Amino acid sequence: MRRGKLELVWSYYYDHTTMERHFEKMAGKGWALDRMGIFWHYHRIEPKPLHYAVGYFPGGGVYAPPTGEELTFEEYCEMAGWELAAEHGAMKIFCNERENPVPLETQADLQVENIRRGSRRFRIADGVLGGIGWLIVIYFMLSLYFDGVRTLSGGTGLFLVFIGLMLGIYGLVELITYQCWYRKAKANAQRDQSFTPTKGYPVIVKIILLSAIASLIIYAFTAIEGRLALAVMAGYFIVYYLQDIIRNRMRSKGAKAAANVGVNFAIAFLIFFVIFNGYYYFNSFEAEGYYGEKGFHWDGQENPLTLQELAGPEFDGKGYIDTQNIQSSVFLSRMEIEQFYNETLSGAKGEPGYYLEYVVAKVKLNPLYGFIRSSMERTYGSGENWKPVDSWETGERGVRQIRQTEFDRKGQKIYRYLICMKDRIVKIDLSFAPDKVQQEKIVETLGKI
Amino acid sequence: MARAKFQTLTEQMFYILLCLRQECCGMDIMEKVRVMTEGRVNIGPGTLYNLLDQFSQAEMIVETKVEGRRKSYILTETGTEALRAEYERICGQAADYRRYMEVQENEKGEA
Repeated sequence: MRRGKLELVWSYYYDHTTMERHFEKMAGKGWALDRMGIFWHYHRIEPKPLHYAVGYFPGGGVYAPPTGEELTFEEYCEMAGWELAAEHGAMKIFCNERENPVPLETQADLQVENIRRGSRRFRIADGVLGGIGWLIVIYFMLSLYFDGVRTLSGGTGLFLVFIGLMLGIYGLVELITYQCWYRKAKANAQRDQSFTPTKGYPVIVKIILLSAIASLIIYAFTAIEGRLALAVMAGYFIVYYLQDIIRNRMRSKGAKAAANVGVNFAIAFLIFFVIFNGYYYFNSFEAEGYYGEKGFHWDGQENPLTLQELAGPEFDGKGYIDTQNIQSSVFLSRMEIEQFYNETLSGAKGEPGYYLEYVVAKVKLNPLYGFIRSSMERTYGSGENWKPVDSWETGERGVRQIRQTEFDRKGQKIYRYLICMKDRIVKIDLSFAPDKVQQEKIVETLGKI
Repeated sequence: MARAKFQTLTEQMFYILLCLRQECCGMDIMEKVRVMTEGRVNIGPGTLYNLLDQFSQAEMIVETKVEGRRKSYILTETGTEALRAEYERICGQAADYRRYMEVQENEKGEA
């Protein structure tokens, strides 16, 4: 038989009514609350009707030991049969076994003011996080317009924007529900001292939490970085689980805030040290597997298409720099490779050298194909600059359309092509107009990876 | 419009101040009020703690002794005045009620 139970906190800090009802229901099922942090921790009891009341003690600390005033407040509560069950910051959750206990608060205006002051720090924190969340979403929308391929192919970016959206909604719902409750509760209290229950729409919070966890799992199974995110999230939960226990224990024993913070920081450092080292130890880099997971298949020893292959034996590669960026998401995989001449590296001056840069966008979700094509047309040149090309040697590679434009790069003329194939769109920049052999090589190589 | 602080007293405020006409420990007030009002008025511990704090800040009560965490208080001049003003307000209301009811009764009798 299980002796303990954990629940991720799914109610807003100010929403005492939802919490009180939930804890009473849990007591009826045989679970009594005994501490809280980001989790509600329960222990097994005989199922019985218990009363719960959430009080707010403005100024109550998370790490600092309880002050004399806090202890006096708790003693008043004890006199009325309210035993402290759990606490977190200003919030104190009391439990009462009496049949009809005197409520913790009997004057509505005082309760409203205490909730406002006691939950302010957490509401501000949620508001700031929500604001950051909306900024991430706005940044994502702008990125989607200016470089849709890069934005949609970044698994980490998509995960972050989803989390940002969830945080934004979480903060916004809290702001709206709290403000509605506060105005109504204040008016009711001033009119006739009547109490107004809080209503934080826990269903929305639960959906947000479940969506965030589901997105993390999807991210972990579709992107390599997702596994690290999953490990970090698991570490975060372990750290908070332990901190809920240690922080509360040290606090109740009167340990100084600095000592409490220090111990908890050391534990967090140790756990994340183990997680990061363990992750990199068990996830060593293997080129083929790595590229395969990113959606591209070649031996991974060299870049799939290089100037050596295109320019022939006269190209010695001296003084050239290669850069590579590959990313993948559930929507598409994107590869960007650049090979350019660097005067400092070669030691020779005057010659601009060859230039090669290509982006391969492999579309995993077919309905997105049209959007990706127009996005690449927009990102890599304004619409009217693109001219159709029908003279390319493409063989039997399923090329649908080729368009061309030109631009100047450091005084060198660059030929830019957009090649639309069945499941991918390739953008390639070259410092020379490719001949038939080179055209076939480009289409063949970039069409099969 | 918001109630001006302590211009009129709530029932809880009134009985706490009434208890503190004699020196009394904060923790005993809840029970004293319950007995005084025969269970009609109950003061929650959260409300009691906050009101004692506010009364102290408004200098309506003063701390007389501290034994561990048991603090005793007594009314000050300001507190006594506030309590008396509230009593007079309630008496005024009661007098208005009686006068109005008497007029009503008389009108009924004449009819």
